[in-house]
Amino acid sequence: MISGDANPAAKLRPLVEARGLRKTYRTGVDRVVNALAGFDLAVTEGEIVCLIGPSGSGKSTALRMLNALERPDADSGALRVLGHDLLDPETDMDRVRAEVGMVFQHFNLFPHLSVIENLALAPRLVRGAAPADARARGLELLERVGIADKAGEPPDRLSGGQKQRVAIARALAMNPRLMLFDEPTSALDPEMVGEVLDVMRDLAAKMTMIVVTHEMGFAREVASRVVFMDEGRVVEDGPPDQVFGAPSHPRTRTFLEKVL
Amino acid sequence: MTRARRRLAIRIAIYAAVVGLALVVIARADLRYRWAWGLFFDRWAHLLLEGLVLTVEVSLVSMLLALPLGVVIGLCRTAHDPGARLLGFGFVEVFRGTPLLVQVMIWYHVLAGPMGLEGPGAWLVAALGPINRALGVSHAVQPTTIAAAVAALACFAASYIAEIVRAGVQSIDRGQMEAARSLGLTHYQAMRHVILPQALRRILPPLASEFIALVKDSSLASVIGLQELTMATRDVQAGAYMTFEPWLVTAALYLGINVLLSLGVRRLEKRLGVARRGEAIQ
Ligand SMILES: Nc1ncnc2c1ncn2[C@@H]1O[C@H](COP(=O)(O)OP(=O)(O)OP(=O)(O)O)[C@@H](O)[C@H]1O
Ligand SMILES: [Mg+2]
Repeated sequence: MISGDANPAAKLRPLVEARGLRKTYRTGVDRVVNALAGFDLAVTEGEIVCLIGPSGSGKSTALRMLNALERPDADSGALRVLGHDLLDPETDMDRVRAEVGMVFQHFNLFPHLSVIENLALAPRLVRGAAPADARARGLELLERVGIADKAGEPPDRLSGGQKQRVAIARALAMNPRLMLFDEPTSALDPEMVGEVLDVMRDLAAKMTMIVVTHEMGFAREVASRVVFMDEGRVVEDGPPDQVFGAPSHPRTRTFLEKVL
Repeated sequence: MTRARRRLAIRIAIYAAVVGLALVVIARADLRYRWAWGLFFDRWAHLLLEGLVLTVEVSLVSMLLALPLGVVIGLCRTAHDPGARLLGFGFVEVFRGTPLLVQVMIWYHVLAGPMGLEGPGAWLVAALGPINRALGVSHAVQPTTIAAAVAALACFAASYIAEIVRAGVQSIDRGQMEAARSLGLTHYQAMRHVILPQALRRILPPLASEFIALVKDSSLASVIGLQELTMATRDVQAGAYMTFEPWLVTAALYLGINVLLSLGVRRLEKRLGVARRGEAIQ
């Protein structure tokens, strides 16, 4: 059912197919946390999916799993990302991660490398790009996110907003087919949120994105779908107008009342 | 009293206490001791310098072996693989948990033969030969002796370096490894290009301490007959019936090497732009 040509009529390819994903963390001798308890998500090319939900509902865990940073429990249903089967131990996870871009809440720039080196490192090491080519392409991307003038600076000289824009450019340097964002503006001062959302809005026109966010304005405006999670499961999944305007599940309503 | 004055007063008091203590020690020293610096420098000092050459050589070779070995063992301790972790743990416990003097004895008397240390020892002696001849070292170095000394010092130091490396790696924020892996880097590439360069900056000061300890610990090689600085000093004491001159000079020589080592590492820290977090503010 979940294989790539399940629906030959669909023009757009499915990039993410997750079914019944489970993740259990052992936090003590006999204490476990079910971070994901049967998570389902399908994303097709070109979609912008915003993932919302209360703290601890499993949003980060789900996102990290799509990038093979977290391994699903063995009894999970299915997980295919960009055509790779992430439940198959034979899959080359490094290759999956190289094709999926990820942006973190706390930027995680490499502090010992200049901004341009942050961008050039992975293309050089993973794709074998020539240093000069990697830097040239890096400069292009810095131009695109509006901070080409900081190319030679170490990351700690940048503002939070600039750091996050560098982090986005760094992920783009690998030419990902899918971008994952985990609360990209949550660590920013309010006046810097706008510049990062602007970059993401630009990007949304030509990229498939899954964005964990508390920026409901952004979700309403940019998302093609909003997914509400609670207690490790998807509770509601639909276009932003429906999820924000007429949520069908009481838990969604309660959550939205709190954050809106 | 103003702050500046109070600080000055404290500083003067500390200096006065140090100088006073030194004066007391000198005054109470055995004044009947007949210093013979002239004789010492004419007849005996060159023996200490020969010992110094060997001390520097053995320390340097041990350091060059201990550093990569320590890094590998330290990384084993942070590895995912339980076998690697056990190996790292075992290595550190064995070499850190027994006295170096005992280890030197075991390397020389027990392990050197079965492990064929004479071969690498002969190679090392041959490699150092031209240097020693140029520097006028008269003693012949026994291959097994120097090999056992280097093996003991290198493994001992590596066990400490491994723990320093492990602490350094574990002090790097998890997000660094995740960001590197999320870009498609392998675990090895992430270690090599992201984690270790950052860890190295943090562990330079304790690494310097370890290198200094290694130089001092090389004196234990005298128990298996290596003519390094401490052994040479004992020979001079026995041959010349002098004690103050050779031991004071030897202390100064060790101190000299280690101050140079410290200054070298300080420069390296500056070059690498080691973060100055937590330093005093004017
Ligand atoms: N490494 C871990 N070890 C143990 N428990 C974990 C771990 N990571 C996450 N959890 C737990 O799993 C649950 C889901 O966490 P997750 O980080 O995915 O939530 P989230 O929706 O991203 O929350 P937030 O909005 O606060 O970021 C939480 O209860 C969390 O405490
Ligand atoms: Mg989270």
